Amino acid sequence: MEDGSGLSALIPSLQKSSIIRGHPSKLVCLIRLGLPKNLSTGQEMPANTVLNEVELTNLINYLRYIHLEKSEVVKVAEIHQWLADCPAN
Amino acid sequence: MMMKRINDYCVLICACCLLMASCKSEDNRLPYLGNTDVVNGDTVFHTVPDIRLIDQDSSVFRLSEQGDKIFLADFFFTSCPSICPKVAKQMLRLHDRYKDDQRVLLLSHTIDQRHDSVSVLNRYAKNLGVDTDQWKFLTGEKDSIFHLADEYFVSAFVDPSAPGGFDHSGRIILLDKDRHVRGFAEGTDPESVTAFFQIVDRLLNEEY
Repeated sequence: MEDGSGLSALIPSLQKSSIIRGHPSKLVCLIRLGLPKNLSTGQEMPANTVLNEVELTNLINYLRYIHLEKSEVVKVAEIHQWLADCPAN
Repeated sequence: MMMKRINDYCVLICACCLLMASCKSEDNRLPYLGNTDVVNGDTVFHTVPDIRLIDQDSSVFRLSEQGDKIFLADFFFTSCPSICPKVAKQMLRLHDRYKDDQRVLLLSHTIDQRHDSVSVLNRYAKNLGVDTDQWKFLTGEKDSIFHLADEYFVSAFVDPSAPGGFDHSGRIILLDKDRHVRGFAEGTDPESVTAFFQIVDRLLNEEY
């Protein structure tokens, strides 16, 4: 939903998400690689290869800006590095 | 001859007055949507067919076998990326509002028979975290479901170019105890659903 509240277990809430609150390197890997099928909900998050590094940077800065009390801006160079270091599945 | 003529006119005028008087008391009732026919002098309102469906627990479901209830119905599919989450969120509002009210039953019909098996529907209901006594997730034979959507005045059709492969409306339809359509809301619009609460309450007052 527009406010990030999600829809029960079907669409996990962004507002309460620990990933958004955590280190942005985890968030960028999550968006780029997605998640495998969750055994209890049966849902999987598809990988997103469409967004480029600039778009990802903007997206992550936006998410952290609206959901965190304080956040530091991340830069494209950092995103580039983190993407290269994402754990390969 | 002349007297009979006047008599006829008087009877006609009286009949009109009576009709209009009775019309006035009908003003407060919700409209009957759809085509209304007159068969042998009786008014026949548009009626949604009583087709055989299967719910998320594999039980057979028919509208006519649900007892004394009114229904809030929509059409969706579980992998729908666009409007369905929004409509589901509004249906959730309706579910929570009429929680434990035995007179109201929510119905979500899947239009994706291929992917949305009973077990998929079952898990969807669990993920939503709803009381399946209050909200049923239904599937059925594909052509029957599309025909049913039509009868509910909800557009739904296969469209490979649409997100998810189906194009359908997010309408939530209000059905009375006799399977007549009495109102609807746009499930994608929270304000439409808020106004819909009043319409549902009005029907409950009418029917019970």
